[in-house]
Amino acid sequence: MAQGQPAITPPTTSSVAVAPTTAAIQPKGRGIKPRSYIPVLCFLGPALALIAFFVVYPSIKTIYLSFYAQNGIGYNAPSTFTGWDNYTGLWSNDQIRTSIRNNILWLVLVTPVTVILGVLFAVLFDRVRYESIPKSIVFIPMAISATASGVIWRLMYADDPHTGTVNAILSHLPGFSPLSFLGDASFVNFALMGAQIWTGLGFAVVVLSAALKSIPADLTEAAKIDGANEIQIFSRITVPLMWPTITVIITLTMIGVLKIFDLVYTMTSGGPAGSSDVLALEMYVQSFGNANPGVGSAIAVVLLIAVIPIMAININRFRTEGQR
Amino acid sequence: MARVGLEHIWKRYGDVVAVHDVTLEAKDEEFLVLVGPSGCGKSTTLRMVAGLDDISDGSISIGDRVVNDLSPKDRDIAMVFQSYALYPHMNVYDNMAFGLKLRKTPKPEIKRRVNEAGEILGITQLLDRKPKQLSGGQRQRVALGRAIVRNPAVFLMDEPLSNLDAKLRVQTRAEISKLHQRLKTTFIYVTHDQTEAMTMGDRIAVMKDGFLQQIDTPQVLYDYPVNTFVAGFIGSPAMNLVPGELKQTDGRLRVEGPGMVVPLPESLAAQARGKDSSKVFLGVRPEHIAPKSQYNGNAPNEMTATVEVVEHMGSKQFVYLGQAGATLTAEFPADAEARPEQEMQIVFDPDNLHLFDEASGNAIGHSRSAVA
Repeated sequence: MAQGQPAITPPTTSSVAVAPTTAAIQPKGRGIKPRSYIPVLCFLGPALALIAFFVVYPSIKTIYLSFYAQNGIGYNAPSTFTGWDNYTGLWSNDQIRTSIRNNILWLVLVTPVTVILGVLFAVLFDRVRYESIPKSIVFIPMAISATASGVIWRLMYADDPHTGTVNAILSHLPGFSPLSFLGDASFVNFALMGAQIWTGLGFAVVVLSAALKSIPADLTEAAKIDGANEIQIFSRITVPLMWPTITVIITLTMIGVLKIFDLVYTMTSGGPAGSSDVLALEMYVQSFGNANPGVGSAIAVVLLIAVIPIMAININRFRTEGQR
Repeated sequence: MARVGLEHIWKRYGDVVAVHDVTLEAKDEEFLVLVGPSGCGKSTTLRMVAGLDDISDGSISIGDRVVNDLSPKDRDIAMVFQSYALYPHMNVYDNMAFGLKLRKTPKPEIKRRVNEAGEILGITQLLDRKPKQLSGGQRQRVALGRAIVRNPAVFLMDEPLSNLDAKLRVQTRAEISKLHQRLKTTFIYVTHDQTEAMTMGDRIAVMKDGFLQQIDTPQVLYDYPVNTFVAGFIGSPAMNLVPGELKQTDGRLRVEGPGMVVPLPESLAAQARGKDSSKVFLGVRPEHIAPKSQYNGNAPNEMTATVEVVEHMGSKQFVYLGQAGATLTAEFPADAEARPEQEMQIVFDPDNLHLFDEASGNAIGHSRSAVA
């Protein structure tokens, strides 16, 4: 049986005639003639200039600063080259070690919880008749700045059950007494993560819900006829087809979590006793609080290096996606 | 293998009724085609048989079981979708094996069945490809393969050829018919294309606006349509429906219309007796209009027409004739002389006339009344 080969072969003469023409055109299109640099620069120039000034230059300057120790405060303060000292110092500093540990904890907990809840909510909301209502409710935190949601959650977690909603609920449950969420080193990180998940979930749900809607109904119907139950359809059809979008959410959440600053800064400023400190906050404290921009820059470089593999995975995925 | 029975099936979406009281049966091993224009309820009917849509009323049985409350997976059916609905993240083998894996079929058995189906459909060399690496025709085969491996009691097909180009469609049409003969299983096939219906179906159910119009063999539908809709829908080009009035003169019934008087043959007149002076449509198929010069036999009717357009088909020609303001389509032999603007005398073959009531559209009778 024919396997989809073209039924009609184009006449040989015409393909022979066409070949040299295309071959002749091709190299011309490749190189840019000197005259055409001007429009190219007009289009790309402004963007390149902005990126160079606001991204490339600060990055290079940060890397540069990370090898220096500044003596005194101010732009013109004298600085001395200290080689890798700022970096090796990171590992011996207890506070920074705590920050690194906390960041890893954030990565390991916030990322999967956000993604799993995001997929779950997207799938559940899809079945709700007035889908847009729960979706809007989950999405609203996206419209609130992280600082504002920090303030909201500080109130939510307040120790006094008359102010703190969470403790108000707990005090009504038998066997529970109000907890000091933000004042107890063993809870504080989880409390902060809860607030972050609340803030970030809306975006995940909306994006994943769009991915879910792009799966043709035919596919789930075909799976039903093939004998799949709801759970099998979810695990073997829905999730694999949503996977490209799920990886986007995973990488965006990971990057967001590595950079987490404002929520922690407004809710605990790293306390109590530095137990909720994170790298971005420590970078800020070292640079501006401790007047130690060398150490701050070293932390920034570590964060940058930590983000690179995640970015690479994401970019690579976009590239392979484009090839399909 | 099983018969499929639909008894008084209704489908309502709120106030909209998509399927009205449809009763039909696909016999065991039969190739039943549901045909009709879009929105006629044919796909909804098929989806109700599959269990993808609930029925509002009535009962559906497959084999001896009433399946109203059974989920699709328990109905022992396989379905081929218009979009093929291949799982894009699985290769061809896994697409075909998916249903068997879910049913916990042993691996060697899965392999045997997938390979066997692959051989039947000529896709064994494609088994490790992903659907997006396949052409439309190949995807179509994989979709068929996925249905075959399950060895179901009933095959349901929802316009499986409409995404193929014309040439491939004709080829695949024949292959599906062959497949049916080979598998000896009940097929229910939905299409809007009357040619597909005529060429593939053992029997055809014609639907319109949610109502079943007629269900019968292709030839009976063609020769004895029950109403003007079936008459116009089955056959290409469509049957000519000429408006006229039924009159009795000198004891003979005839249809009189603008520029034409067509006496009815006795067989047809017997069925139309008592309906004189009613408005009717006289139905005549293109191949039953002939130039008078080529008509051998006694032509009791004769009218003048002007050739408007001629379409040469090689073995025959379709001639569009202007007759008293209406256009008739005629199929003439290739050697009949017909030029645009030419005036000619034409005759309707009295042995192949159809008469329909103008108001209801229902058939009053057919010249060939032996079977009707």
